Amino acid sequence: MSQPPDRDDPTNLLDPFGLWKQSQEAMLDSWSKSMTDAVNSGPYAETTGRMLDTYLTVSAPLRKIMEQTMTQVLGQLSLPSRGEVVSIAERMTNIEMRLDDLDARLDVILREVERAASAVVALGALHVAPTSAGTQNGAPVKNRATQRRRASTTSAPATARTARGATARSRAKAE
Amino acid sequence: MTKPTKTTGAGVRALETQLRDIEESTRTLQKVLTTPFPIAQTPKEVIWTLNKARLYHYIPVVPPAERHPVPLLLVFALMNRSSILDLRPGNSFVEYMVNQGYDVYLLDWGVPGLEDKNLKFDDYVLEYLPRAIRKLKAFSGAECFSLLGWCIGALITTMYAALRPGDGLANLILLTAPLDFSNSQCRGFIRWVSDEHFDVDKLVAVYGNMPGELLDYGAKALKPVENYITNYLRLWENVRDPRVVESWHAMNTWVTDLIPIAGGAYRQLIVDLYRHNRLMEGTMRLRGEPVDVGHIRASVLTLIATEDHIVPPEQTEGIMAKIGGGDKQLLKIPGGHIGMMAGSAAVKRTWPQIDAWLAPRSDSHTEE
Repeated sequence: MSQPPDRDDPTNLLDPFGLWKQSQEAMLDSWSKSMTDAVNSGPYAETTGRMLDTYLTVSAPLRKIMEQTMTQVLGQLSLPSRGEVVSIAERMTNIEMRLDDLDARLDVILREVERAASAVVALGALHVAPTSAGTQNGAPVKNRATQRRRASTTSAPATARTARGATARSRAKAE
Repeated sequence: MTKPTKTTGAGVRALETQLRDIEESTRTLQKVLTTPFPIAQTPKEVIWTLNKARLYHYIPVVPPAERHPVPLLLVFALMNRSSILDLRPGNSFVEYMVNQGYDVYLLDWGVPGLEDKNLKFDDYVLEYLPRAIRKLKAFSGAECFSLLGWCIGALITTMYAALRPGDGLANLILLTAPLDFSNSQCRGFIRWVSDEHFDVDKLVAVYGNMPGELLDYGAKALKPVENYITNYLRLWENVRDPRVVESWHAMNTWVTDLIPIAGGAYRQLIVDLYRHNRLMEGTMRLRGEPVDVGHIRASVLTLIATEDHIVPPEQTEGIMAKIGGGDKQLLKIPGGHIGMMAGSAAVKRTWPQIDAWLAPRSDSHTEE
């Protein structure tokens, strides 16, 4: 019984598809190398640069005429031109920056309030039930680094985190 | 009239099967080429926005006690979408890092409009990025953080690290960073954008922003046979392998989602960096402030893709000697500009190396 041709064997002359694929791979490889060399050459850079320059030289006045015409048409229709919309968008970004500044200040205030609240709680705890060194709220103090690590992941009080979560969700919804 | 033999019947059936296969393959091909793949699926929330920029926080899956306390902020390039970092479930860098216990954030620059044509690196480095970092710190409660920048994102994060070394930046990871343009004969874009051949001012004056289509053409034309022919041949050859098709579909969805670069930033990239190599020469200034990479104090990991034709290795290697601070490492990874991080081998080759480097440095900064 005859064996089916082994397509992975490059020397198999009985498999025309294998040979064809092999020659196709070789052709693509050599083509790829020569094309990559060509596009990385000075003459290619010069030619494409000249073509782009010609295109820009020709299209610039046309784009300008189109823009002027559109501005006139939109003006006649009492609609804002692209320039006016762009100007409004720029002003919106400036307003957003101001809002972000306010948000930053609010974050600072929140942090200070949290610190003050923690200090008040700590003071209250000291007055109500003074504990011995090495304990906190009646429980032994564990590794300080572990405490700080936990604090860094859950630093904000529940209310602040909930508020932030709600803001983020409403923003996401608005998008 | 002759009766059809058994052999003829089998031949017809085989032909029918082949035709059905071709029909099915063509349908798969059509679907892959005309519909988008659902990329960027890792659950996230928007925690900050400014203009088109968005800061995403990925929902952690590891309990807080087991998480790395130093958050990680990902910054992608200005061209193309940041979704390449979260390509598809099972092949997503974001998902991988979230599963490794990192608190992951992603800064997405968005799509610049005409109103953004004057945005420059000055704005991205000294306005957008610091504001996003401030929000990250306020949201996470962490004082220090890690930054991972890819391509132009790596350029932005490098300049930020040099200008704001005391801002809490603990670790800086640079992926295929275009930083050193001293070799004007190397491959890549450097020949194309020389002032002899390319009038960047005219281009920006006509379009406002650098169009995504032109950027895409440039990137593909550097390897024309691979991008315009071999890429599609490989798909056709593997069209009946669902894993290959899914991977190709996801990548094609990302590649074809083109976005422009703000005109001001593009001009700066060409003139100040590609032509005058200002960052390495030490003459780069953003909003009047000199950018000296010697001021970088964070731990630095630089990854180079050995087959990168967009940012050739020599455009990154030189930075290592200039960076200040002692904790720095350079890794060379086999692969191309995108494949190094988003290819099927990345999950075994690149991501574990990033994790291995970053994990010990993401725990130590809590213990002062």
